[in-house]
Amino acid sequence: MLLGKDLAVEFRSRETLSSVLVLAVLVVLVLGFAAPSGVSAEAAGGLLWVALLFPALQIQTRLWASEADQGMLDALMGAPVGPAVLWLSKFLLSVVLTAVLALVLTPLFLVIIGETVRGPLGIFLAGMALGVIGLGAVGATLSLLTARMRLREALMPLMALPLSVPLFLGAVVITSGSLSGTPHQVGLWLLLMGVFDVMYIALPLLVADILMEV
Amino acid sequence: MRYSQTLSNLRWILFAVFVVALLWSFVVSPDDAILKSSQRIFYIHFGSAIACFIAFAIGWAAAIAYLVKRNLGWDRLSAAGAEVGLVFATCVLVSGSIWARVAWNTWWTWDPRLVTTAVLWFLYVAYFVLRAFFAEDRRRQAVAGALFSLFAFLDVPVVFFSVNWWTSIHPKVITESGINISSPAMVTAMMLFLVAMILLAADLMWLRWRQHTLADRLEAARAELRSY
Amino acid sequence: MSEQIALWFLFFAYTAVFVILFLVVGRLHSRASRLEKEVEHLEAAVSEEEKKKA
Repeated sequence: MLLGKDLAVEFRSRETLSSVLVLAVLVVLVLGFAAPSGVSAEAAGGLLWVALLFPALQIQTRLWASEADQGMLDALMGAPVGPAVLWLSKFLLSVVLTAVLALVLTPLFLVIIGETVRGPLGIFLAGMALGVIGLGAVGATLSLLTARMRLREALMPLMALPLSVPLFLGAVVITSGSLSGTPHQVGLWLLLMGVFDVMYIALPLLVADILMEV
Repeated sequence: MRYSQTLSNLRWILFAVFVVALLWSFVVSPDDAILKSSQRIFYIHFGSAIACFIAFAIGWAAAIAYLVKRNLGWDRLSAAGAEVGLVFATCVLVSGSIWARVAWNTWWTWDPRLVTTAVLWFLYVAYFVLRAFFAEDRRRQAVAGALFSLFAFLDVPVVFFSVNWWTSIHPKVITESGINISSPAMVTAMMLFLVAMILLAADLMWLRWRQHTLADRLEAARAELRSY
Repeated sequence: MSEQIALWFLFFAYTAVFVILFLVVGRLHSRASRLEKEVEHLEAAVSEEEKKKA
């Protein structure tokens, strides 16, 4: 039942995804112009995540937007499913949307920048997956926190970026390493990203009801 | 608070501790072998860092207490902790930057300890921006602030352990085998400043807590009067 | 030797800074105490009003 609701919300959000994807493609193109002769494999890892970050933030900001704009947040608080489940459905939505973004963006980026994954593909994918999950979790939480605020589009990235730095650091290191073929300290970084993801899923689930009342 | 008098006497003792700490730092403790006198900034740097962590920790605990008890007094303590923590974090970044210029010949570098500390600073600035947005609604301000502080504090352990988890050029003074300093006079200076900074942070937090309480009481009285 | 003198100078300079800091903080605390008394008066006056209205 949860999944059905989640998918329904997804189809509704085709508008979000399409505008975000356009933005993402534009960002990659701009990066291509900015570095016409390509960049080092190390830098490419960081640039990929920068290209992903800003469209992803767009997705996150809008997660609860339709509910908040229609004044449904208060009504949802009394819903039989409970706020934790609601957060979970938004989190899954966020992950799916961000994953689609990443799936479209990454090959496009690699082609335009002119890099390939020289290192183990599994590590590259693991880094991407953990990063996407983490961004989804942080986004779902913060967009709920700022849902009722007038200036949520301005404030949410301001809070999301510092909170995501440990995740971002890990993602960049693993991605750069996989692109250049020499990944270092992979176990540690994957562990850090994993812990980050677990914490940013567990904590919001615990305080979901308080998040909704803000 | 009727015991203000005793506490202000204690403040003079705190001042004495500071003077002794300064004496030790500048005069008694020896020059570092490699860095000579510039090493002395470490005493303020380290003291500020620990005071900063403690202030943020108190703010975090108070945030949790508020979310559970819903008593605004906890929210005031949480805000005070965040404020004092931010001030000391600024001291850490500034003193660290000055030391970096002398020891490493650069004002800043992309090192895990430095990056995570800067992130910590930005996180708590964002905390105050968030609170400012909710200025009209005290309760929502408190809830939103407490929630954000809940997550923001998670960076503090990251900062603390960053030198162990990652390769870092930041010096490791506290290790599993104890304090990594050669001269006992230096350790004394470090400890004196540590105590002094923590007590200063506590005093400042108490001051800010009082000021927040006064502001709230004033606002409540104003609201009462307005309703007549 | 001049370094010793410089260090003593720094010690006195920092001590002066901390004296100022402590005086300021102390003053803020006394101001807070005075304000607390005033706010108490104000709250008493407000509850007087309330009793009159009731």
